[in-house]
Amino acid sequence: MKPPPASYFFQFERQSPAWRYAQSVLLVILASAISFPIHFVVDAVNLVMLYLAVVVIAASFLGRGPSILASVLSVLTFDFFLVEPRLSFSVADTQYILTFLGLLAVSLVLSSTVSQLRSQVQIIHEREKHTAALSALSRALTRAHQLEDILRSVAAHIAESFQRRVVVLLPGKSGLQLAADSSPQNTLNPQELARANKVFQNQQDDLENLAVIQPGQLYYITLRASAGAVGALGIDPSDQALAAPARRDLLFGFANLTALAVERAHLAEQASRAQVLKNTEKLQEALLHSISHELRTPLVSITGTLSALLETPPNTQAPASQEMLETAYEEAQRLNLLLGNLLDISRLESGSLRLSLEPCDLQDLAGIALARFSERRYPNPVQIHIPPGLPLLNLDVTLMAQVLLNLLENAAKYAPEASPIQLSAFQKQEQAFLEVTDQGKGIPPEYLEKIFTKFFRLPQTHPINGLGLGLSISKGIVEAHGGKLNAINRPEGGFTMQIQLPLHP
Amino acid sequence: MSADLLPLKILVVDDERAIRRFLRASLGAQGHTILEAENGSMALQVAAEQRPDILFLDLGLPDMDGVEVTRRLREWSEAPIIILSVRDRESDKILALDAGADDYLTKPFGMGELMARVRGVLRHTQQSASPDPVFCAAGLQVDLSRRVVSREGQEIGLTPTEYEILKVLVQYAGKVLTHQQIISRVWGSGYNEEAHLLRVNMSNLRRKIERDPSRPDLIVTEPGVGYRLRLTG
Repeated sequence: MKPPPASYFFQFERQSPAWRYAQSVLLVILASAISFPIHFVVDAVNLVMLYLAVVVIAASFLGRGPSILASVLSVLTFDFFLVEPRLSFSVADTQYILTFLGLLAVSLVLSSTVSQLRSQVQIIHEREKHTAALSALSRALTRAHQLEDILRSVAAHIAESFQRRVVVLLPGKSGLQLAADSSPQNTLNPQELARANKVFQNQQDDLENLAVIQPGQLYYITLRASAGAVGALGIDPSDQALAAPARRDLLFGFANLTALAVERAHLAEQASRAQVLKNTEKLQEALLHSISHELRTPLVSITGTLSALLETPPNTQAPASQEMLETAYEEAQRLNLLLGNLLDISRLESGSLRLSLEPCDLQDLAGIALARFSERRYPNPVQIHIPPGLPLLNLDVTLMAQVLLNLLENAAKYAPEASPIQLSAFQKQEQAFLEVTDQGKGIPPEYLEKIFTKFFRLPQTHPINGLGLGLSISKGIVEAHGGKLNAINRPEGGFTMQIQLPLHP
Repeated sequence: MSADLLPLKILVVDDERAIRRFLRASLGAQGHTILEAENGSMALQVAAEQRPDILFLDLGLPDMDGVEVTRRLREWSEAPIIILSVRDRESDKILALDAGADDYLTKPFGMGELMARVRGVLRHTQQSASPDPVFCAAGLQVDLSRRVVSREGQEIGLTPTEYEILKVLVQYAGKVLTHQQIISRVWGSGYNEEAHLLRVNMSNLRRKIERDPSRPDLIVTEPGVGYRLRLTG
């Protein structure tokens, strides 16, 4: 929207001073030309009014200087042409001295009053323009939602109001970057970017700097919003007009509007990102729930049915069918474990794993894992070294027992058949350690970290049951407890998986 | 396997038809009468009309929380309740046990495990009138009338707290007891301080009565829930 068109009244600044003075002289000449024939008919004093009119016109349209010139010229021409003796500056009738003085005084007062009025109107008009410009920008910003639109709109509005180049800079990966430019064909050189960054980092914008700006450089001010600096605004300072208080206020008004709009856009973006994340989490939860429910439910019936068949008196069944049932039952249970692993890994990755902590005795924990380990009929004997008197740890017992079971199973899978496994616990400073040590040949050093990766399998090992999730789940659970899971090749041979937990998390 | 069980009237509460069906088939084959309910309100209604001997209750019901069903049922019925829940509802499980359910089993389960639970809870309800003063299992003897605990004929000295814990476990032998249930019976109310005391005393108790405290075969830990004194002799 454009400011309302100003009347020609008071707009004399657009004309050059010489032309204005010339116009004032012409006006006096015009008045004299009109008066001269008339003064033969009417009394000369009456023609003073015509000269007064000239002074008023000069004051209104041409400014203070030309109107004073008009006043003085009027008095002189009046005397020269219209007062006896004519064509001479001498005055016969002394009463005309009074007329001269009156004309001069009235002219001067008029011209000064009019010029004062004019400057006030000019200020009001300027303010009106500024208000209109600010409200136009604020309206445009209300309509713009995307950061890009906002910045384009800002650059265009400010550039139009000040009739000069405007740029907007926003922080990027490496300091401020050009985000909008009212003259897009131009670019900012690195020195300019460095200057803008300096202003942004120090959050400065003092107009005194205007004086030291070299030609071709822009003047930068920081865009400040409620949460701090959000960017910088650059404007071409040529002709120093920015230093005028009204201009300066307008510029800062624009800067404030811009800062608020940028902040609003940032907040809106954050809100929408949070919403997306929330939706993703909801989806993930729903997926987890449906996996857990929809896949588990048939498994419950299958496992239950198979177990019921297995437990019916064996004499009613052929030995072959007994074995088939056993296979089916074990496989159903394995499927259930795999399903559990998949659920665990997705819970860990989506961050929806919730620990329910309770004080736990490490020997008790070992007992739970061992009971499940022996249920699975591994041939390896497990030797336990847990000294009495270890402090209780705050753990999710179910999850941590599963970690321990995973480690025991891994040891059983990769160590020599039926070789013993050591399970030990000890305390060192503010840490508790649980170690599962096997007599296997350990892991090549380059894989020590990789074994915790999802679906990782050591190359050159024969395929072993499982998805390759056990260790990454275990690591996730231990880390959720604020601990560490370490893989250690023992120098004397054998391999240790070590759970390290803080005593006071 | 069901030789030691009289025919029972069992109410199966589960919204999954397949689960009700396999339970009906396999329990029916053992001579039990099976009642079915697919939601909580139906369960309460059937329980009131048919007076089942025991209930199998799923926690995730479409209309009502299984915990709520337990609570309402316990207002007027003493019939044993066995919770059948999926693995990721530990906290609900404890709530249901504290609300009066007798035991729980995690899905999927084998029929053998289920019937063992049934025997455990029935033993307790049938015995509660006149509890056997001497408990024997895995070489351990607990004589509640004389306050004497012995293992393979050798008397074991327990602290008063250890004895109280063991006594509670013996009274509810075969049945799971939540931490809270043991704490309130041994110490009265309270939880935080006592939760630690319970673990420490349990550890000491196991060292005294178990053959191998790292492989307990008397007092079994139900992770996240509580403890159970195993019944096998």
